Amino acid sequence: MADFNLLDKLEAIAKNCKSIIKIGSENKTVNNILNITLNVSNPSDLDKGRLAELESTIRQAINSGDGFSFINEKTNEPRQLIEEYSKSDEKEESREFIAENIPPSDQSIWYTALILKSEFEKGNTANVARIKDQMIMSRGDRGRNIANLCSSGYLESLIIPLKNTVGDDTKIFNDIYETIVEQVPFAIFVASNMGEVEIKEELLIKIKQAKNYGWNKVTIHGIGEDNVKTIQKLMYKIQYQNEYPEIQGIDVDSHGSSGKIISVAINII
Amino acid sequence: MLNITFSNDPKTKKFILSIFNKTVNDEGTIIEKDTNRSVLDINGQEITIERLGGVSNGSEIYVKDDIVSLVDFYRKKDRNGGF
Repeated sequence: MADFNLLDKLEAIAKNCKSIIKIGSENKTVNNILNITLNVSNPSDLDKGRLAELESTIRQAINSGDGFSFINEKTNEPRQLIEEYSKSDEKEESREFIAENIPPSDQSIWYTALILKSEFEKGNTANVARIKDQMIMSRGDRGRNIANLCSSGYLESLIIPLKNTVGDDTKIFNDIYETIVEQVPFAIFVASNMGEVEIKEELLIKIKQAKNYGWNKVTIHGIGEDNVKTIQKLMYKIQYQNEYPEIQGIDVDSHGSSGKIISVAINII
Repeated sequence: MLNITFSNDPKTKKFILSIFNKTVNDEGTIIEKDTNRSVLDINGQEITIERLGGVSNGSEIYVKDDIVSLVDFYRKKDRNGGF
């Protein structure tokens, strides 16, 4: 049973502690929800003396069993992105696939990657950088790989078809899936700090890996004008210098706006 | 239902933790005041005060402040909530 007195008491304290608490706009008397913002970093002298009472009343409110939520204001933006995306009907089939087939420990990172992709497609570059950084911070290289795989459409072009091919054999699917997200043996995602030398080194490693796993191509992905130019120059050299006998041909797919995105499929023997 | 949005400064976060009888050790990890035992987040990992994203009811669920942890939290809270 909700304890109206405690929320009332808290509301009364809040009205007298304006250097610490602000009351939200929602009508408590209708919904029995009290929204407040709290900042005790710089209380007035008068409010300092009320902190103990405030702490005690909040504690009583959370112990009343009526539910509580404490949210860092820093998370307002990501929470809004999550809320908007979850209400949209974007990529419904992909979301269903993730829920039904991706190992549970990776599901949230794939959903985050879908939000990342959506923000990229909307051109919200600041959000894209922030989300990708947080994916890497949260899950390391696996987070980076899943961000890259999802952004380049590999969920729909590779992982979903893979599941359709192997059918109910979960073990085979999980084994191949694990190789894909841990090693990404068939693709290079060019980062802004990679020059021609680094891409060539990575290409040699990937060609070897791809052959080991029986893939017949390695795709190089680049986003951003500088990366696109670096990749184009390197592909020109590879095509005309015959350095790699394993390379059978190169298919360039330059798309996106103003040549800012490129995918180069390198067919290998 | 009590919804509190708190500012991201150390004093306020320590105040929030004290409400739940928690504190931080020298490394900034959130611990139980009584036992000094580390508090675990929704994924069973230790959580520092710097990364405190929120606390929710349901045996006090602690959530980190990155978007992956938040997606995880909302999915578990709402049983795939919208995803």
